[in-house]
Formats: sequence, structure tokens, C-alpha cells
Amino acid sequence: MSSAVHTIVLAGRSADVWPVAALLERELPPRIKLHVIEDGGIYGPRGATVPLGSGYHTRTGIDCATLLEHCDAALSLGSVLENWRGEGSRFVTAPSGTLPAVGGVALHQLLLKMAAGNADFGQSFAPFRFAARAAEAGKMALPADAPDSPLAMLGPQVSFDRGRYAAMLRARCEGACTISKGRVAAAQINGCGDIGSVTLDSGAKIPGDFFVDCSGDLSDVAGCPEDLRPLQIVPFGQVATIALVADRKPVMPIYRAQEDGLLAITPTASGQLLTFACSTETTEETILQFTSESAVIATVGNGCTDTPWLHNLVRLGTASVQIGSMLSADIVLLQAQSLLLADCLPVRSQMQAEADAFNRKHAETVRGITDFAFAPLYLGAHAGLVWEEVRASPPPHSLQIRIDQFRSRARVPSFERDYADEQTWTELLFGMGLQPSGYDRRADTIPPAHIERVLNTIRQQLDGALARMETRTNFLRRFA
Amino acid sequence: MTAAGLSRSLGGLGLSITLVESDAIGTVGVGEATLPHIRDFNRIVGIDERDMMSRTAATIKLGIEFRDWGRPGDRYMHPFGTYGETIGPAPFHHYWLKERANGGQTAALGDYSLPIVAGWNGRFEPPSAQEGMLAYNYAFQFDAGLYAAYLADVAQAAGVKRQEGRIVETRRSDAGDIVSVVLDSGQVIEGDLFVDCSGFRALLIEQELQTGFEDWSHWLPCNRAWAVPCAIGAESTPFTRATARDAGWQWRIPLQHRIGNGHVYCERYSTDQGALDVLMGNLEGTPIAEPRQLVFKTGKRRQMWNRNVVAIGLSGGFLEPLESTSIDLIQTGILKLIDLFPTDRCELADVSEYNRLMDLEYGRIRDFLLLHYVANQREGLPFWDDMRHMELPASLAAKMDAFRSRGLTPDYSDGLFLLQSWLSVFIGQNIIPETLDPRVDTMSAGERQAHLERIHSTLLESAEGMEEHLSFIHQYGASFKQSGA
Ligand SMILES: Cc1cc2nc3c(=O)[nH]c(=O)nc-3n(C[C@H](O)[C@H](O)[C@H](O)COP(=O)(O)OP(=O)(O)OC[C@H]3O[C@@H](n4cnc5c(N)ncnc54)[C@H](O)[C@@H]3O)c2cc1C
Repeated sequence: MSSAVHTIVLAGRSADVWPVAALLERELPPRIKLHVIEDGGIYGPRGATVPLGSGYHTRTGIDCATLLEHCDAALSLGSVLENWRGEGSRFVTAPSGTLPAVGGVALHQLLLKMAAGNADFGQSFAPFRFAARAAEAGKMALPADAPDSPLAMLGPQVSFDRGRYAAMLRARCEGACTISKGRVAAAQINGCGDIGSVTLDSGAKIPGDFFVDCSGDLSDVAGCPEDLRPLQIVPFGQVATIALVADRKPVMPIYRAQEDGLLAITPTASGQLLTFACSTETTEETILQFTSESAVIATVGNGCTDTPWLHNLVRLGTASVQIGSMLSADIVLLQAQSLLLADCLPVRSQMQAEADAFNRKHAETVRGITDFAFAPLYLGAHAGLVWEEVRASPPPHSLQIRIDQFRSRARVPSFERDYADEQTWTELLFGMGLQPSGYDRRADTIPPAHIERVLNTIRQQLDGALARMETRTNFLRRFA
Repeated sequence: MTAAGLSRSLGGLGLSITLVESDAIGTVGVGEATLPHIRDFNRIVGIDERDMMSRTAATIKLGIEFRDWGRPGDRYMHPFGTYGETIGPAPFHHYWLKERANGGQTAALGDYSLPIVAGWNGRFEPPSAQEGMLAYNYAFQFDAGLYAAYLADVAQAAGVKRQEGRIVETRRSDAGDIVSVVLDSGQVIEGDLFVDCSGFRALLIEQELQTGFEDWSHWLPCNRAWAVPCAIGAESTPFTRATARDAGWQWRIPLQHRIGNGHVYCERYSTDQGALDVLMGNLEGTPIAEPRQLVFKTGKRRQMWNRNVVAIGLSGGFLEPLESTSIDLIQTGILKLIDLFPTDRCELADVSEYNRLMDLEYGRIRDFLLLHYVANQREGLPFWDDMRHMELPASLAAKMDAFRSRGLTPDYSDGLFLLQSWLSVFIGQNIIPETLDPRVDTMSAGERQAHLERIHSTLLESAEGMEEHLSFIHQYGASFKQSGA
């Protein structure tokens, strides 16, 4: 006999658990009760940058004004990759929709054709990197401001302290769900392998029908298999994180490759957050040199499970995938996991089909995010043992296909549940120095004069749209 | 089709394209029902739809009607469009299922799909909406021979050289690539890239390169067909019909001037004569040609692209005609080839990518076709009993479990048959989810009923406002011109 799911218990540190709880609270009917077990604040990176108008924010009902008002958030249109192509190099990766094709041929293919033989292809491509240009120019707009214009291609992102973000989400859920503070100390497993209840370190016993572990403690006490398959692409075993009030904070998130590791600088409205990820062999002295005396140092794992949902327990966040914070892959993934979970939620104790569907979609989602976030690690040229080790290991199969296809003909293959658009991928791969040896042969069927005309028209449209865009400062006045 | 696609897309490159065809061998000569993607192909090669329709006797196709597939007496349509619209956090079909489970007076699922409502009413007009409940697409039911002739004109006008003759020999380089083919006249035709469109013979890809065939007949066992055209007896519906028979199924494809009919069956469960009798006994009009028998095996080539040979069409594989997928697979093969067209030589990365994409496409289509057979309740008939109890490919078993258990539909975005197609067969063949998305309960019964009622009446009104199907064709200027004059 299968019994109905009435209570969902979510456990984890607040930064991990509230993004999941907030979405479920928003979408589930009142007859399904949520019980959130909150254990401390944040472990690991504090700064995060996620898409502003993502499915996650839309479905959770969180708009720009809310984020600005409650999360000390900063808005941007891109992120800076520093030093990835060698010391002093700088590249802006900006989420972007794809430019219209001309005669069925992608615009960058036409540019490649026109630039054939010209070593500095980057220069001819630059004017068409609309979102990146807008990001560099300190402009800001929302795609909804002018859906029939180049603004529609923009992918605004929001940066925040995960602690503030969690507090905002928590406030939305208060009153609608039960909250217990404490650490999960034990789990009571029934004969079928399902969790019936969990006991907190305080001794409180919390029963539930379905359990969501967002940080890993619940999985440990429930005896989940240690099945995180190592991801060679995450070479870092520890992170140091600190929030600083800064007069001169960056206008965009920065991901700086350093000899010893990766420094992520996340702007907020009032300051910046530093996160330095490095190998376990890096000394504390080196770590503090890049952060600050009062930085909190944490050891982190590396890996990914193929079966995050087993029996009536689903593992999310670091409980399922430990991929670090390059391009905020960790929090982007947590939001994506929340959406998948909401779409696959079980109704009764017999939930194998839901688990299978979730696990399959989850693997695709992880692939999309990790491929994008880690492409710079493979394609970068930064010196340092840690980077050389990454480059020496084989990339995931799907990333290898993307690299091969791009190298062969500047083609960007798509996979199910991809994270980034064709344009964003194209810019990143070019930006990381991948030189295609050919291009789409259809480009040669379009007369150069026609291509030139079309490119000029598009360039002018983009220039005009950019000139008309508000500065970020003016944009923020809307919300004052 | 391949010659037209390549010449119109890549003709400007100065490619020399030669098409070798043998009148003595001829073509397989069937294939009348298409899928909506063919409209994209027509656009790419610059075909005027009206003109094409008038020269191929084409009618409009809004979907495929399936009769007797779940239980005898059942009837549903797989539409080229969507069901309902987004009305809450859960997918639309969950609200419909909830209403139905609560004993509400809900209409059939098909009544929430515009192409189905229009199709049942024999109506059509070109879609005006891109998304939402009024969005849909359409395909054609045409004389494939005439379509091929039409494309031959397009290809030759774009510079393709057509060479009549039979290929009797293939020559290869030391490296193993094909360098030329020799015709029965002795003429040698050299090339850098060879596209094998030689049908089931698979002249280059198999006879020469011995690429290997993945036999899927244990999953899709139908391996024979009888085909015969007949006079129009009933109406020229804007949809194809597939009626389940004891050892297979029968197609009905109405063109402007005749009906195409065929009986696809498995020889293990029916004699050839028995199958022919079933077909001839179920024609709605007088036969207008002798019935022809076709023999095939379902499956696909292990690699669609091997060395410098790309197999397109039946030489690459065949998955039986139930969902009119063959012409579409030809189109997919052409478009992917154009996408990955080599510059100097066939790069391994491009060949692997082509094969990866085609494998994905074939696998998904196979699962979708197989679903029709295994989700049957036609008990007591050996063919259908065996289909119901077969061991499924894991990929299909997972899709069926997900739907049966919680109404979760496949949601991949890249492929021929997407969510709505799967939904139509699941529900149409009586797979009703045991549980529903809990998010449906955020809506009250009253709100739900109001939404369903609104959608139903909007679609009915839209369909009633459409033209009668044949008069649309007439007014569109697409009436059949016999000689193509
Ligand atoms: C029963 C049945 C029903 C079908 N119904 C549909 C349908 O409704 N919708 C759909 O989309 N598809 C359908 N199909 C599939 C459709 O018929 C084919 O996909 C389509 O006809 C294309 O076939 P082809 O060109 O690959 O092969 P063929 O039509 O067999 O053509 C092969 C060509 O190669 C040439 N050739 C072969 N050997 C040589 C040689 N040695 N030298 C020179 N030339 C040679 C032949 O002359 C011919 O021109 C059906 C198939 C079957 C069997």
C-alpha cells in the first residue's frame, strides 16, 4: 500500500535550504506541509551571481525590486574573467540571446568568413557582443523594457550575499511552513529503506513523508551511499570567503585565475565578497594574502552523484553535486535543482518513477552548467600547477564535443537542458582563444556585399540600442 | 530531396552535384504522408507551397487519427499542435486529468487541441498564432512520386546533373574512401563525398562499406506491407488514418484525387494473402491500381556517415511508416549534412557529431513508434498480446513508467516528437496516470472548470470559423493540376 505525501521535510544550512523551500512553498497546495530544518548559515562561498529573470525567480515570484530592497544586491550584465588567457588578460562573458541568423547562417559564421585570413577575428566580432559591450559600458536594462529590440538579448544577473538572499527567502516562507533550528543527528529508516523521521541534536523528532537534503548532513546520517563521482575539473579542496565593505567595488563579478587558485569577487550594493578557492596544499598564509585576516576557511569536496534521489530522500546542493563557485555554478545549479524537484514532486510513498525522471533530468542539468562553467578551466592558459593539472585531464564528453565542433567549424552543438545560449557559448569559446579552423560552408553562398550590408545594419542597430540604454545608476533610480 | 536540399543550400559554393538514378530499378514508390517539418524544408529550398500542392495533389494534414489502437472502438488523434494552454504551475493535462478524475463533465483531451477540433470538423486555415492554445502546424498528404519529380526540377534548375544509369561497381582509394562509381554504360563518376540514397539496397554504405545494421525488428516486428490506391469514397479528411488490424495496421491517406491505402503487418502473424484480403476488404472506394507488396526490416545503419559516405533515406534505416517519419528522417539527414558539410575532407569530429545526432533522433522515434504497439488493450490477438508483453528498451520503459505513475511526459526539446505527441498517445491509448502533479490543487474546482470551459469553447469557435478543408485548397489555388501544366 502506498501512502500519500503530506509532509515534506527539508534540511540544510540556511543558504542551501531556503532557495528550495521558497519555491516549493510558492507552488505547493496548502494541504502539503513543509517542515524546514535549518542548520546554521553558510558553508563555503558567500558571494553568488545568478540570472535575474530566470525561471527560478519568475516561478518564486521574486522580482528585481525585491532583490534590490532585501538582499543588498548588485545588478550586472556580465562577469569578468581575469588572467584566464595569461597574466593580465581580461574577458567579459555576458549571458546573451542569439543574434538573428542571416539566410539561415549564424552571424558569427558570416563574420568568420569575412575575416578569413585575418588573425584578429576578435576585433570584427567585438561590435556584435552586445551584452558584453553593455556590461563593459556600465549600462543596465531588462529584456522586458523593449522585447522587440536588442535589449531582448540581455541576460541581467544579480549578485548577492547568500546569507542575505536566504534571509529574504526565509521571510517569505515564515508562517507558511514549520521551521526547526538544529542539526540532523539521526534518521529512522523503515523496512523499505525510506526515512520515516529524523531526530535533531536537540532530541526533537520530525516525521515526514519525503525528505530533501540540501547540505549533506541528512544523507550522512541516513546512510546514503558515498557515490559522489569525482569531477577532475574541480581541483580545489578549500575555500576562504569574506565580506568586505569597499569603496571601490567592481561593477561586475570577477573570476580571477591566480597561480594558486581562483579568486571570485562578487559585488553587492554595499561592498564586495571575496571567495578564494585553492588546493588543500595551499598554505593559510597564501589564502589570507588574497582575502583577509578574518576570512573563514572551509574544506570543500568535489564530485557529483548520478542518483541524487534515492527512496524518499532527494539530495540537492552540495549534498549531490560539489562543483565550486566558478561562475556561481553551485547556486545556479541549486536553483535549477529546485525547479526540477518542483516539477517531479511525488504524491505517494511509491516514487521510483519520479526519482528516475528527476535523476535523468538532473544529470542533463549538471552537464549544461558544468560544461559552461568549466570551459574556461580547460581552455585557459594560466600558469600554475593546479591549472595545468586540470588541462591535462580529459574534459567531460559533452564539453569535448563542443570544443571539437567549435574548433572544426565554429559550430555550437546544443544539448538538452543547456545552460547558456549559442551566442554566450560562441563568445566564451572565442574569448578563451579557441580558433575555428573552418566555418559553416553556407556562409560562402551569401554574397560578401550582402553580408557587409547586413552586418552594418545590425552593427548600427546595436550601437543605437547601446547608446539609448540607461546607465546602471539611472536604472537603479527606478527602484529607489 | 537530397539533391534539391544540397543544391539550394550549398549551390553557391561551386559544388558539382551529380545524381545517379536508375529508371530500371525504380523507387520504392510509397510514402504519401508527411510531418510539419517538411514546410521548413520547402522554405529552405524555396518551394512555393501552393504550387507544390497543386502539382502533387496534396491535401492538408493536421495529424494522424488512430482507430482501435487502445481497445477496439477507440479513436484519437495525434495532432500537430498543443493541448490547452498554461493555466497554473502544473502542465495543462494534469488539470484536465484532475477534472476527469473528479467526475467532472470534461470534454475529451482532443477537444482542447485546435488541430484536432479542426480536423474532426474537416476544417482548415493556415495558423495565425505562434504560441498559446491557437498555435498549431500542418503537413501534407501528397503523391511522393510527384513530389520527387517536383524536387528533381528544383534540383536541376539549381545545377544538379541527373545521370540515368545503374551503378555496377564502386572504386575506393588506398585509404578506403570511395572515389568513384561506375555505371552499366561504363561511365565513371568521381566524387569527394557520396550520399547513398539507394534505398533498401544500401549500395555504398552497406554493400561496399559494410557499415552494419542495428536490427530493431524484435521491437518493431512489422516487416511487410501491401499498398493500393483507391477512389475517394468518403471524405478527403485533413488527417491520415491508421487503423489497427489483427496483425498490424492499415493506413488511409487522402489526396486530392485518390486515397492511398496500405496494410502493414508482421509475416509471423499473418499470411501475405490474409493481409491482402484485409486490405482489399477495407477499402472505401474502387481500387485504381494493382496492389503492391513491400518487404522491409526495421532498424538503422550503425553509422549513417561512414568514411566519405552519408546514408540518407531507406539506405540509412527504416522505422516503419506508422507516424510518417521516413521523409522527415531524410530531411533531418539532409539538414544535418548541410550543417556539417565538409570543407576538404570528412573530419572525424563532424562525422561523429552527425552520427550522434542521427542516433539520438532514430532512438527517440523508435521509442515513440513502439509506444503505440505496446500500449494496447487488444487482448486475445497473438500479435497484440506479444507486443504488450515484450521487453521494452530501457529508455521507453522509463518514459512509460514516468507517465503511468505521475503523468510526467518526456520533455526533451530537440526531436521530432515532443511532449504533446507523447501525451496524445498515452492518453489516447488509455494510459492514465495513477497520481497527478500535486500543484493542480492550488486551483479550486470552479476555477479549473472555468478554464477548461473557456479553452474548449474558444477552440470550437476558432475551428468553426475555418474554411472547409477542400474548399480551402481550392481557394488557395492549390487544386491538383494533373500534368503539372
Ligand atoms: C510500406 C511503406 C510505407 C511508407 N509510407 C511512408 C509515408 O507515409 N511517409 C513517409 O515519410 N515515408 C514513407 N515510407 C518511406 C518512403 O517510401 C521512403 O522514405 C522514400 O520513398 C524514400 O526512399 P529512398 O529514396 O530512400 O529509396 P527508394 O525510393 O528505394 O529510392 C532508391 C533510389 O536509388 C536508386 N538506385 C538503387 N540502386 C541503384 C543502382 N545500383 N544504380 C543506380 N541507382 C540505384 C533507385 O533507382 C532509386 O531512385 C514508406 C515506406 C514503406 C516501405
